[in-house]
Amino acid sequence: MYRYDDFDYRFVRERVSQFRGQVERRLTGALNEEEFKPLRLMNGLYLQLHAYMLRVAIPYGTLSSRQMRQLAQIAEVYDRGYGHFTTRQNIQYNWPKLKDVPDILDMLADVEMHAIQTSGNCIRNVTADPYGGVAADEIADPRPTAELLRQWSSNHPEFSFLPRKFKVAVTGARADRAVIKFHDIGLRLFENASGQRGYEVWAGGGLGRTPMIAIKMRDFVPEAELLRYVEAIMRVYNAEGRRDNKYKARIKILVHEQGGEQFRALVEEEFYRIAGDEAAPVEKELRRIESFFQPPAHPDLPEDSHALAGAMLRHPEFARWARVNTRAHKAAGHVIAVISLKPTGGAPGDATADEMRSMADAADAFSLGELRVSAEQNIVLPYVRKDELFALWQALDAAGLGIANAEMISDVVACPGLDYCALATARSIPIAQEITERFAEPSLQEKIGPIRIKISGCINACGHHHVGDIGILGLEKTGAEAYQITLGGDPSETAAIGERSGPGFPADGVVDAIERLIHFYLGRRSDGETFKQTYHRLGHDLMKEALYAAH
Amino acid sequence: MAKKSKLQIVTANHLLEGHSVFLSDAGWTPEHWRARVALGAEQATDLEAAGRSDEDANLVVGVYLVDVELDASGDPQPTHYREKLRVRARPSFWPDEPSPMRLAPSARFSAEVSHVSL
Repeated sequence: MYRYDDFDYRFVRERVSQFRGQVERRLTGALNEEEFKPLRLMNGLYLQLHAYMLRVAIPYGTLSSRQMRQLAQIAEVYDRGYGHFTTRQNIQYNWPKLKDVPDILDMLADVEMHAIQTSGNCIRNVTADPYGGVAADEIADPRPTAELLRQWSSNHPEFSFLPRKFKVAVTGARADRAVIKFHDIGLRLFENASGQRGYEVWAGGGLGRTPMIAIKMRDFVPEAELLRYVEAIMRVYNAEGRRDNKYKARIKILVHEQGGEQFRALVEEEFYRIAGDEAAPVEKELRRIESFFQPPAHPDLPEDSHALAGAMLRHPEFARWARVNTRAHKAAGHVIAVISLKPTGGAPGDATADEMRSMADAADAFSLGELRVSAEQNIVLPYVRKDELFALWQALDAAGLGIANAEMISDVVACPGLDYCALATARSIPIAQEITERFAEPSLQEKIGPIRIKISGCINACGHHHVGDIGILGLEKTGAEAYQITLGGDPSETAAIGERSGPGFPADGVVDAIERLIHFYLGRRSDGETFKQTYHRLGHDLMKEALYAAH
Repeated sequence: MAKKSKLQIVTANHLLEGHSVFLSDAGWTPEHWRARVALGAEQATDLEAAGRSDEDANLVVGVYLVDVELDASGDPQPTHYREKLRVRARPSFWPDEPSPMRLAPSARFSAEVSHVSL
């Protein structure tokens, strides 16, 4: 993992000290709310429906066990004993008091963490494939690039007051688990035919009220030219992006209003205008950063584990978890293990302080002390030996964390919704809870197979509903909560925006509608077909009819 | 038939603690049913102005009016589902029981909040 250098330490501590002074001035009245609001937002502090909310950055979703324990400690001392892991690989605390926030930021700084640039019109926390460095289908590790971009974008004077927020995601694998085509900039790291490392660059993607799939800017940007090319995109956006209407201020609007050809031309022009030869420093810095992400010396293990096979035969519950919650690892004899934060009837992405500590303990015992946060609001252990998988599951299960549902129907992604959020128009979590209860039976979940259900409590789409196989959007309709369903969304390399199905459902009818759709799918699918495949074979209209049958 | 006057209360967030509060005859309280009720537009304007003066005095933040109706006990209850959720002071899926905050508002909070005469 990356470790702060002296500059990082000093910078983060200075920011905490500055914010402590700003809070003191706010409390004495030297700063009014209009003056203070942009300052607190720059430090990740929002005011929500019931309380303040602090959003803490977890760069590219990577956490050490020590950091996870500190997050648990903060939850216990300064919050109500839990935190919420988000679709952007952050953690949010829902109940901090303003007077305590500087102390919380100091505790974060103690473990090389902060809340800087988790809000405001700046470059936000850079996200990446949660399986970075370990996925079997990986071409190159995206984390050094994400770290380079984090350093470059932190407190960047030119890009601290953009027209609107700006999100960058990086992947280095064939399968896109970083949702790069729905980011302001998406990068796919790979090696070209001559073995040169570089990036396929996408721009202008996004979800929110105007979902758009990014356009490809370039097939290949050599890694030494990455910052120059990203800077060119940022400069064009900063100069040309709309500032008159916040709903039209994201880069996706600029790209699609100008058209891909013109936007690309402007970026190319800017790219060649940027003076200086930065190639050597960028490459040098990347090599320095890469030294923090060297793969651990994995023991030379056979691919198959007799211990694992035996445990799976003897313990059916473990076997189910091992089938559902593990992913292929690049090192023989290892797997990536997913810890689901989606218990039946739970709030998606929430973890108590005790659960955080249990996950930290599991990381120390079974995953070289490292954890990741995924866009699905789950926690990933990246370095697990197959021989030790059963022992890991036993430890997780004892902590209530051995839930076998990764990427299944009860692995519902949901934003906090109107239970917490001041912007929301409807609740998300109770709908997610009802879905997990309705489809709780493990054998039914395995029969249904992989499916993504994603819920947002308003059009800002923090629950990524546009890219769910089934997307649920909570709205207000004639003074009551109503839920609009979209079908066919896809966050992966085959990106698609879900298509609206028709009139919304009341809160007490939405899960019934989903159940009708699932039964229809089970009755009509061909052998081995996933929900996504059946949807594409039968088409939107037939699937939509199932939703409304007997409605 | 004459149009019924709208009933409203004023809410905000406590600056220091962040939780939602309501303007009562005795100052700001986390208990919405104690809130002073404005009858009609003129009283609502005065009530909101009183709230804003406390915002200027750095006691609360984010002042706004909430439509209410009176329940059988004569206490104001919000009419919109958003505000019904807000007055619970907790997520809707948590058990419906008085929060510690409601049972024992902090001494510091009480001491800081000034009485607002209307």
